[in-house]
Amino acid sequence: MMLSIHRHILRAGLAALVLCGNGVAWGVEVIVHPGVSTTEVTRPLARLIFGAKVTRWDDGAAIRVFVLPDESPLHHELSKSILNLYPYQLRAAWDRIIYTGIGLAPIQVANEAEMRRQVASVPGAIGYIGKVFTYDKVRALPVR
Amino acid sequence: MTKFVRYPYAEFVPLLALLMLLGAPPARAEANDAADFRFQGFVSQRLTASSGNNNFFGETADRLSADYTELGLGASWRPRPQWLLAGQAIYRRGGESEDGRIEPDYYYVAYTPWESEEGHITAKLGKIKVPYGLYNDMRDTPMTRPGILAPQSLYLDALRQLNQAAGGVHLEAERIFGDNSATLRFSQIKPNVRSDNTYWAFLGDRAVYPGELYSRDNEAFSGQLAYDHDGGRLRAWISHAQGLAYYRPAAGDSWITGDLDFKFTALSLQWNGENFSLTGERARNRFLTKLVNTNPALTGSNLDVGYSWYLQGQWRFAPRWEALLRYDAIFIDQNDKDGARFAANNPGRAAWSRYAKDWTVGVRYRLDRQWLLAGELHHVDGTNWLPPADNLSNGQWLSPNTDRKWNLLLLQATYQF
Repeated sequence: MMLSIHRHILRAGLAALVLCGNGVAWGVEVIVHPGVSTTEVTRPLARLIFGAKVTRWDDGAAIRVFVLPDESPLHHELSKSILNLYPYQLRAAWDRIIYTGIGLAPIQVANEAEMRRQVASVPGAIGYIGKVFTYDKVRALPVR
Repeated sequence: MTKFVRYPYAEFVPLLALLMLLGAPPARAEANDAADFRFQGFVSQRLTASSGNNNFFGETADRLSADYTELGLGASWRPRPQWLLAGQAIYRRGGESEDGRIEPDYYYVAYTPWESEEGHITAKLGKIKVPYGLYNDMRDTPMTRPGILAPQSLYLDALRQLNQAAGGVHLEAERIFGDNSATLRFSQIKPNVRSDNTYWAFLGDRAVYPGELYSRDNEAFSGQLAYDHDGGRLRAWISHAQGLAYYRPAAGDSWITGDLDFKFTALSLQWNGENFSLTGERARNRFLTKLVNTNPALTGSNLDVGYSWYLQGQWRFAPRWEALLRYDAIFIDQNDKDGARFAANNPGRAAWSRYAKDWTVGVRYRLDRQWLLAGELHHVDGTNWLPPADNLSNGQWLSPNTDRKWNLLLLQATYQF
């Protein structure tokens, strides 16, 4: 009996670990509009996309970048663990783009719900959300 | 006073914009106008106090002055993935140097025929920010300046009309190697040499030189090679800019003709850590002036070769807070750094107008994406970058009337959207 319970706990634990690998754990996940043809990106390319330096997908369609406020914990998570950049570096790059007009800076949304809504509805959109079980109307974009 | 300047090629920009509007298919499958159009703007108010006789953009000597206001409004539009139209108008009010006129800061059409994770190629046409050093193309908005003032030895605000933006064509090619990138920029431009401060800086005395300065098409250019390592954690850039200004005699002028040839070359290094950034730039500045007079004895030329450099530390000591420490220096003639020989040869001109050594401490607080508050204190020896137009005595720029050693306090609130 005890053994069986242990086995159940062990099994549940293993399942949780596996799920972690698939994106259930706390953290941040890059998401795109379901119409985006690109299926994965490298970290350098993710840096270029969020830095608004690469502005088109492989198929030539416009990339539209959505971001959360600078002070949001998820934004820090994206900057540091996915892009390996300090948030102030992104802010400096965006301010430069905005006020010298060299491109289109990312569009800031207020919260994760708004992020989901925008990325689901705007063609070519990319953004990020906390890791979840479901990707209703958006698609995860793995960053290698 | 800023005078009207016609920029080469600039007339094509509205035409191209119109063509693009007409050429855009009415229903683009991937069109999303809200996502491809941006408005931006800012308003910034400064409080300035300077010591002694020296005025810095307004009547700031020995009083706290609210004379300096900046306001900008602009938009960017990407009608198709390869095309970008961008423009910004600036209003700047600051004493005699900035007369509160609304002027185009930049406006251009950009075409990017190739772009991938390996790099891009872009061509721009219109009035363009001149790429020079780390900050020249982004120093006229408070949010993108390192401090309330950019280092004046390289980014002279008194000569903003001359050195910040100019009409012309601009080419940019970037090659990306993973997290590192190398970018080559080249601009052919027509600089605006017609501001009062440019006149005072280059000629100096309206009674002696009653004419004015002008520039010609296609004679000035700037180039830059920029290497960014690990997404900009380390930057090493080299920049060059050069141009020509000509003297147009006034009626009955004894000066028949003249030209001024200027060349600037800058080396830039920057390191960006999590809480610290360290920046250093050094520039070589060369001015060659030739003036021809009806009296051959007065005809002659003058060559000044000097340098500027600064070292700047930025410390992000708490979230939203940043502290600044900087030493910044310029010497117009490297063989006469203290200006003594110049003053001996030019009665009525101060030795200290030929250099400036500036210690700056500053702090800034960014409340949120919209609000920025900043304060900074300068202790300066020399008046080289003091705007002449704000320091005239009976309409003349008499540098001996300024104080050699002076302090400058700046407080600034900025709202941006």
